[in-house]
Amino acid sequence: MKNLLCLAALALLLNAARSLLPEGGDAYGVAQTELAFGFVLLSAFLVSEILAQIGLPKLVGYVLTGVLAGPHALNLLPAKMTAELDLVSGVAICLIALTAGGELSFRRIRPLWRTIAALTLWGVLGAALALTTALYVLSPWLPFLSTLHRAALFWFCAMLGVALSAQSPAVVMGLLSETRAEGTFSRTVLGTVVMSDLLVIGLFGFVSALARAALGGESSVEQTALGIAWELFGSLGGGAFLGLLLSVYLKKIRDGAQVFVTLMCIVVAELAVPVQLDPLIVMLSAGLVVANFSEEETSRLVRDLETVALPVYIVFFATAGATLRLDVLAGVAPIALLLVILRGASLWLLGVIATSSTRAPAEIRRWGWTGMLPQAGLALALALLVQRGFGLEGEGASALLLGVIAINELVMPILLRVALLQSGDAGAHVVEVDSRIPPPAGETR
Amino acid sequence: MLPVPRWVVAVLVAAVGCASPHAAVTHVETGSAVPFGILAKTVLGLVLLMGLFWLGSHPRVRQFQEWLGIRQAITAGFAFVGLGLIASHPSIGILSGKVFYDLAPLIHFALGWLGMIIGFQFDVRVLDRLPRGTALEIALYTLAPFVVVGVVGAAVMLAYGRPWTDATFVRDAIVLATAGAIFASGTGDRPRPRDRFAGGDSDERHRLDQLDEIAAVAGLAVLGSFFRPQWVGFQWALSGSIWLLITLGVGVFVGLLAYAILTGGRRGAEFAALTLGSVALASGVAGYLMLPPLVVCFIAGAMLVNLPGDHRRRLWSVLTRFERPLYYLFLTLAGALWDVTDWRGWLLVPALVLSRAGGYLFADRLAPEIVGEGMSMRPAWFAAPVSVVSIAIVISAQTIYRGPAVPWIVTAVLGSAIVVELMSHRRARR
Repeated sequence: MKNLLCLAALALLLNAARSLLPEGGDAYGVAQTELAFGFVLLSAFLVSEILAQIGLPKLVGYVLTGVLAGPHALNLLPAKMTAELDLVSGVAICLIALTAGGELSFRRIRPLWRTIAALTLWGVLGAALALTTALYVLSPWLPFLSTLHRAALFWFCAMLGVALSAQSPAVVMGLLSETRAEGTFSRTVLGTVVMSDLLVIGLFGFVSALARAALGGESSVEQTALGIAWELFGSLGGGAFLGLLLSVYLKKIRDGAQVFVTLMCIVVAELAVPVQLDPLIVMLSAGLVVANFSEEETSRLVRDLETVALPVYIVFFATAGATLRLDVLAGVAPIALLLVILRGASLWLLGVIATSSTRAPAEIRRWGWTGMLPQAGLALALALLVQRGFGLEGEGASALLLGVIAINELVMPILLRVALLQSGDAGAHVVEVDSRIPPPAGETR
Repeated sequence: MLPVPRWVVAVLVAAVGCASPHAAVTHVETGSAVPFGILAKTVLGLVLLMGLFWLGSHPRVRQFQEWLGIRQAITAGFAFVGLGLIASHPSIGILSGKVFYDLAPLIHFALGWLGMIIGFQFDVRVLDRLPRGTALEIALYTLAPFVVVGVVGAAVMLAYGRPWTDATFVRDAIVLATAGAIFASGTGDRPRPRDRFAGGDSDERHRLDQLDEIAAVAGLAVLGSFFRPQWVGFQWALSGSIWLLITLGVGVFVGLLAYAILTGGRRGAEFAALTLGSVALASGVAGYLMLPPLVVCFIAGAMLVNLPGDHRRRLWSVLTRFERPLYYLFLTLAGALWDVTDWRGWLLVPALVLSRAGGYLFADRLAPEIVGEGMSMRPAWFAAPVSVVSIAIVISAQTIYRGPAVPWIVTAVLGSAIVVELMSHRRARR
C-alpha cells in the first residue's frame, strides 16, 4: 500500500512540474534529465518491489515501469524526456559490459569453454536459420515483404533472422545480480550471451550488407568487412587498453575507483559511437583484461561498483521499457507472438543438442537455453538499424522486431529467473555488506 | 593467477593492439572518417585523470598539501577546476558541445546533493543546545560582510558601466554578497556519522558553520524566488512570494516522499540507489522550475533529519560518502563553465577579498557590544576561508541567470577562494 501511495505521489509531482513549464521551452534539457532519472529510478524500484512480492523478477518491474510511464502508455515520460536518459543508458551498457567481462576469468570459464562455444554457435546460427525460414514462409502475411523479389526477400529475412537471434548480456547480468547467482550454470549462461553478442554483431554486418545489395542499394562488401573489422577489433583493442589502464589504477592507486570507472564509462558511452566503436565490446574487453590480469582487484571493483551500478541498471531497463512501442506491438502481435514461440522452441532444441554434444552438467542441459531467450539493448539497436537503413520495408520490419523484443524483454526474464532458482545458483553468491553504510538501529552484522 | 591465461591475454592484447590501428587506418583510407583526434584526446584525458587521482592519493602529495595548508575542499579540488578549464578549451575540445550538454545535469545534481547535506545538518534538537546569543552572532557575522560585500561589489560593477537601473544589477550584487558572506570551517571535513547521530555533539564551531550555511541557503531561496529568470516563459505568472511558497512546498513534498521510501529497513546498494533517486528527483523538479536545487534539497534534507526513524545514520553515511567525488565532478564541470578571459572578474577578486575582510572586521568590532565578550569562535577577520557553499551559490546562479556580470561573479568567488585560503595558511604557519 505504501509503495502504491508513493508511486501516486511521484506521478503527481512529475505531472505538476511539467504543467508549469511550456512543452519544448528553453528550460527543457538539463533539468529534465535529472527529473526523468529521479522519477524513473524511484518509481521503477517501487514497482519492482510490488512485483517481487508475487514472485516476479525485479527486472521485469523496471521494464514494466518504463512501458507504463513511457510515451506510448501514460506519457508521464514523453519521448523527449526519455531520450535525455541516453547517456545513463550508455553508461549502464558500459558498466554492465565491464562487470560481465570482469566475471569472465579464463581460469574459471576454461572448463566450460566447449559448452559455451557449442551453445553460442548452435544458438545464434541455428536460431537465425530457423527464424529466417519462418519469416520467408510467413512473408505472404507480412505486407512489408510483399514487394520484394525472391533473392531480396531471402537476404532481408536472413537479416531479420540474425537480428532476432540476438541475446542480452544486460538482462543476464541484471538477473545474476538480482538473484545473487554464482556457479557453473551462471558462468555458462553469461559466457554464452557475451560470445553470442560478438557473433551477432559480426554476422549482422555481413548479412545486412548483402540484403542492401540484393535490394538494389549501394553496398561494398570490402567496405563492410573493414567497417566490421574496425568495430570488432578496434573495440577489442581499445577495450584492452582501457582494461590495462584500469588494472594499473586498481593496483597502484585504488582510491576513488568508483569515480574513475564511472568517468571511464561516461567517456566510452559518449565517444565510442562517434568513432564507430561498440561501447559494449570496448568495456567487455576492458573487463576481460582486468579479470585476467588482476583477479583480486576485480572482485573488489565489482563489489565497489555495486552501489553505482544498481541505479544505473534500474534506469537502463526502465528506459528500454519506455522505448518499446506498444502501439506497434498491437498491430503485429499475432505474428510477433508466433515468432517468439518459434524462437523459444528453436533455442530450446538447439540448446539441448549443443549441451548434449558436449556432455555438459545436467542443470546446463536442462536450463542452459533459457539464458539465450531474453532480448534488450543489442536487439533494439539492430531494430533501429533496420528501420533507418531499409526504407518502407525497414519500417515495417522494425515494427515486427520491436514487437518480438517487447515480449522477450518482458516475459523471458521470468523463465531465466526460474532457471537460476532451479539450477541452485541463485543465492550462492556471498554478499559482502558494505561496511560504510551503517545498518538500521539495533541490527548487528 | 595462472600463467597460461595471462599469456593468452597478453597475446590477445598485443594482437588486437596491432590489428586495431591497422584496421582503423585502412578504414580511414577507404573514406569513412574516424575522428582520431577525439580518440587521442580521450586517451590522453583518461591518462591525465588517472595521473591526477594518483597524485591526489599519493602520501607525499598529501604531506605537501598539508604543508601548504591546502586542506579545504575548495583548494584541494582546484586541480579539478583546472581540469575542466583545460578540457573545455577549444583547442582540446573534450568537455564541450554535446559532451558538456550531456554532463550538465551533474551540476544540478551535485548542487542538490550539497543542499541535502546542509539540510541534513538542520537538526532542530542540536540547534536547541546552542548557547544563548548564537543567533545574534550569526546574524551579525552574516549581515556585516553581506552588506559590505554587496555595496563594494555594486560599486565595482557601476565602475564597469553596469547601469544601476537595470533589474539584474541588484540581483547580481545580492548573489555576490550572499556568496561572500559565508565562511568555511577549519578542516573542510564534516563530522563522522558516528559522532553526528550517536548522541555525541559535534564541536561548536562546526555548528556555527552550519548556521552560516543555512543563512546563505535562505538568502539563495529568496533570491531564486524574487529574481526569476527572464528567459523562461512559464505557463503562469506568479509573484515572488508564491515562488517562495512553491520552493518550500516542493522541498517538503520531496522530503516526505523520500522519507516514506527510505524508511523500512532498506540497506546497502538499495538504500544508496534510493538516496540518489531522491536527490535527483528533488534537484530535477527544482531545476525544471528554475528554482535553486540547493534550496529545494536543503528543505528535503531538513525534513529527513527531523523525522523519526532508523534512516538517519545510513542516509548521512551515504550523503557524506559521495560528497567528495561528486564535489570534484562538480568542480570539473564548473571549470568547464568558467570564463577566465574576462579581466573584470579578476579585478573583482581583490574587491571581494578586502570587502569581505572589512565586513568581518566590522562584525568583530561590534560583537563585544552586541553579543558579549567571549562568544565569538570565528577565525580572524582576514583569514576566514570561503565556503564550498559560496561556490555552489555562484554556480547555481550561473545555471539560472543570464547577464554580463554573472561570469565576473564566478571568477571573483573562485579566485578569492584561493587567495583567502593562502592568506589563512600564512597566518596559521606564523
